[in-house]
Amino acid sequence: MGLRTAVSTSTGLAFAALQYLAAAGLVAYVAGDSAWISIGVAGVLALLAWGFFGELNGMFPTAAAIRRYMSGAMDDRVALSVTFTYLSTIVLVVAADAFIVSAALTHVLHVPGWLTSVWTLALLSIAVLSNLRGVRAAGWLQDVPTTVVLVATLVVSVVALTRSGTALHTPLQPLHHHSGAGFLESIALGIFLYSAFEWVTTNAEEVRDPRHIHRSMLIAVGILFVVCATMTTAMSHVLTHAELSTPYPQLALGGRAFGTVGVWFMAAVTAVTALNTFNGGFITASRFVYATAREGSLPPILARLNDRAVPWVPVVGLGVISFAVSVVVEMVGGSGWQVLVAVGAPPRGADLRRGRLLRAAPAGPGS
Amino acid sequence: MATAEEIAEAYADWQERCNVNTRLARMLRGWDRTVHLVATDTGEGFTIAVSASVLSDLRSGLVDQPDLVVSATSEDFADLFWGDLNPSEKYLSGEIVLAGSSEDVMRLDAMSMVAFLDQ
Repeated sequence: MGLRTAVSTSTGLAFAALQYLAAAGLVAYVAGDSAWISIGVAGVLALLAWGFFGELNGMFPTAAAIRRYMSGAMDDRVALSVTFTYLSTIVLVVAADAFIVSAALTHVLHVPGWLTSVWTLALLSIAVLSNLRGVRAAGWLQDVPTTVVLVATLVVSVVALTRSGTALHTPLQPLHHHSGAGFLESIALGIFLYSAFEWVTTNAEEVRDPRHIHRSMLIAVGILFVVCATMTTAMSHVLTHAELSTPYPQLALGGRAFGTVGVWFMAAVTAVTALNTFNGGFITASRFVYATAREGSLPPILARLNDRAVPWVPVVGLGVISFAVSVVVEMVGGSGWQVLVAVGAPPRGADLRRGRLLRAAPAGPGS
Repeated sequence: MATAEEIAEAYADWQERCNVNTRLARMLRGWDRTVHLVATDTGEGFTIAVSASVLSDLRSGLVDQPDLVVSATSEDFADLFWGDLNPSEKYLSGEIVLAGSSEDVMRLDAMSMVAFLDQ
């Protein structure tokens, strides 16, 4: 794995379809086009996490580093609990992405709403089956979806912004008609925009040069800042409150930029983000569950392998749980995805806490 | 600390278990790889090749370009091949270090597990 693939992996892990919703939600908490400030503050916090994870990777370049460091910093059972809380976020994000993509397709195709669950089931089934068959995308094939999604989002945002007039309204006044608490909320959502960029550390054994990992994380934070700041600025300029409140604000943004073609284009882009999320989410979570079961900390059934050396029980389990959660989100209605965003943010904070603990108790390989 | 002879003896036992295991043969289909073993305490290196679902004999020295590099103490290598050690536990504790693709790591772990589960 070269630096380019490491960057796309780090950025792709963070940039899920849920990103569009978090960006739209963030716009509501601060005045107009000053959302970039919240994203910038969150970016600085992400850089703190980058420092910790960079150190971790430098001292211990292996996928097991997170587990190793956490068990060195706290009681093993507590470490395992925290890690599984973090893993549950992956399930929630996969479920949310499946729901968002399905809702977007239902909206674009003008088909009955109940079909959303069918789309979700189909998408998750494809993800589970391809995982069970051990299908792996080549490095360059992992780069393409991430690049397409980021460039498309950036272009659509810039075009939409240009069409609305480029003059900024309140670029330096986040509290204009808004409260300080709202600003803090927006920073929390901003943190979510960077969430999971550090999971590229689990690829430490696959890179040609271990330094690629911490370099890629730094570049990914920069890319995420530029794309997300541009996107929120465009959203604050061209979308109505009602459009910002839908599960698919990116479709409206595409519509403002390129009309009907833009809506379809952003629907396709949303579907591509799901490829990244499902692929990364299922592989990361299932392999971690497998390794923990092999270690003896989880029931042995979770370590069962199929003939392609894939831990099939965790993969199927993650698929079923993700589908169940997405159905619940759909039943809850419009606020369902907001719950997922809210639940998704805290584990990112846990990263920072973990980073501090790790720094307090560094441990080298084999020590 | 285990000697090269002790590691070779343990490996020969593991190799036999693996090569007669029909399930493992299915799992290794199409997975032709060269694996280097590096004993961190003695500095010795060994090479294993997997070809057509069959494990080769253990060769002394680091031969050919590896797909996977496993670093551990000589004692851990011997224990691993005898089945006295859980490689996942050692891996997660940082005592066994791997370099290679995640798919290759999974296959290697599958070999260590299935060889003993199906006996």
